Amino acid sequence: MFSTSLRVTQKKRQGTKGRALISAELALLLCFVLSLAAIVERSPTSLAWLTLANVLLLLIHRLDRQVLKRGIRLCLWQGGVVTGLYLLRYGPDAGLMPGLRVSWQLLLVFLPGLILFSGGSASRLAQALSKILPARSAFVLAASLKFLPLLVTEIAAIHEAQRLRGARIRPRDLLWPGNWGDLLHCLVAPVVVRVLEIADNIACAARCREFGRFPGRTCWPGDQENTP
Amino acid sequence: MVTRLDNYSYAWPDTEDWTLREVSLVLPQGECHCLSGASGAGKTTLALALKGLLPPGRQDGRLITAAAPGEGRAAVGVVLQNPETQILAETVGAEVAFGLENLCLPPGQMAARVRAALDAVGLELAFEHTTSHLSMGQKYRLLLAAQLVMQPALLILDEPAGQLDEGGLQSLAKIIAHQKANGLAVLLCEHRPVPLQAVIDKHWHLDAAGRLQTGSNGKPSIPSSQPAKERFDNAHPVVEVQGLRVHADDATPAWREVDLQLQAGQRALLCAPNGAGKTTLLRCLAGLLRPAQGSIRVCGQQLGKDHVNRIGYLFQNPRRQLFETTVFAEVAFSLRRQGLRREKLSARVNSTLARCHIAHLSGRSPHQLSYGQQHLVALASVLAKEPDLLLLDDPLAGLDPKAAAMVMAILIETSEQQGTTLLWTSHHQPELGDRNHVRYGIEGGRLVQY
Repeated sequence: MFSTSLRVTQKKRQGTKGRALISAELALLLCFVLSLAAIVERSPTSLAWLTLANVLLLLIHRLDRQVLKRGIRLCLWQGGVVTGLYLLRYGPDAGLMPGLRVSWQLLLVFLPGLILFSGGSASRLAQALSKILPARSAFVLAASLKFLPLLVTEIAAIHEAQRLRGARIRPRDLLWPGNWGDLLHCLVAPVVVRVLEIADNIACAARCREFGRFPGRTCWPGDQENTP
Repeated sequence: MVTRLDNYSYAWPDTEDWTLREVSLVLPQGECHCLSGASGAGKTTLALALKGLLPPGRQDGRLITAAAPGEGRAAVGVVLQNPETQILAETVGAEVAFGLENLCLPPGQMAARVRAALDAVGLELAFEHTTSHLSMGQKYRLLLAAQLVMQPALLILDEPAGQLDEGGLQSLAKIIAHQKANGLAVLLCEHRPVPLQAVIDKHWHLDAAGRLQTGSNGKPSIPSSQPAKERFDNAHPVVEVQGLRVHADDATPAWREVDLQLQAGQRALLCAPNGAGKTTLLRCLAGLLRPAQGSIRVCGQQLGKDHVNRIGYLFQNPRRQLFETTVFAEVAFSLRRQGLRREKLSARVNSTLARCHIAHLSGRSPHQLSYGQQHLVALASVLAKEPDLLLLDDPLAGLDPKAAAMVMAILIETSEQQGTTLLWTSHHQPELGDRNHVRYGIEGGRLVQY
């Protein structure tokens, strides 16, 4: 019925990923060092160097357009909220520059991870983590990251469902503190329930494929098929 | 190698009732058996029992699973319902190899086994192909490959028709036929077995008490199977859509541009395969997705904030909508937001609960109900605000025939008594008697009326 095709097709097919430019271990180390530096360093010069390093990573790794767009949107939101809170607390003169700096630092903490491990690199992350963590813990950590997009989709769907039922949880509604209760009641509560349910489903799916049957695991050698 | 249950009974921990009662079942190699039963009857429990994944509750009787000789083999494979929570890796190769990793197969032996499994399900994809780019049908076949790679003696599929469209089910039927010829035993837990009928050798039915009987339970009684023929020439338009397009960044539906008009009291079904953009269209009509072009008018006015109370939207997964501590509070939520007075609110909620046959659940927590009951609660919470337009995203998905018939009856009654316009979607042709006034499909990038 289906042709046996053990031969390897060399042509690039739609949806395939290119070969990673740096090893998963080096990516993990780079991610750790750059993120730590963004927390420790505060001077504008250091932050400028860190920014340059991230831009270089971005150029080398060529992030998926959709991920990049979402990242920029999130970054603008984060920057606006953090700087806004600083302005409220310290006023325009004393709050603007520290607010911008802290939001920039926060961005630099998460950017290396976004660049190095987004767009289909969770299995690489699992491989790297399995060298420093027990195999099962490494899988759990990598799976948690893998399912983050599903969680975001789920939160968006619940948000839409509750909005249509009359919950006051649109961004402009939440400017009024009286509506914050709706956020907890109508959004956070069902999200928590769904997260637990999804976690249970994922655990069941893993056990259906013999996860946990033996104390250790071997490791898939990689996605590059050998030419015969 | 035969998998069998002899008078097997099981009760979940901390429960008094048996979920499975004296179940006797033999699954010979090379045969496909279909297990039907109402939602919550215990089909998934039986599947997990055969896989050996049930927590230690009360058990009785004997369960004998086929042995798994050889390296990197599992006795029983199970594909659960939702592919989205079962795909654990980012690439096709890593996904299929996941089971082999857990079985500690040496890495050098993995590639050939993975390629053979992908061939067996007809997926000619490179190992590095990302799993997130696959269609629903491809995802399901990938999950089948991820089980077949462990060379099980028995493969259990939990409600595949709930996820797959007609094309996907035809592919699945071919794969099952091929695997049966290779000696694999297959158990389908499915209350909609018709599309897979050709490969099924024997039917079983699990009743509400957890007892297994031979044969299927037949089709549920339908209010009427006559297609609706009323004309709506004089009715006022509720939905008027012209030249609707969406941004490519938001969604990539199979339709490029949509024109649609629905009158008051009209029932319309949009039937199209997975990924065709049914949900995208509903989201546009509900005001959740801003169109790139075109106009949407509901009840004669451009879609806006005021339409929240005029539009009801039932999501595919009812659990996304539930958050209150009681069924009564859940159904009352929208009415409270509309500012209804207590007496009127109470009367409206009680009548809606009665109409949905869940008045007896009024004080229960919605989170502790069965899937079918949760579906009815979510439907009641949408119906309570008496919307002019009701959008239903695959409202029968995951429901057994009896529950599906009940939901359809409620919807028809609502449309006939209150003049509510219904637009519902499905990836299956209607089996429950076509009571829709109009049926749409998607062809050549446009909505077409059949």
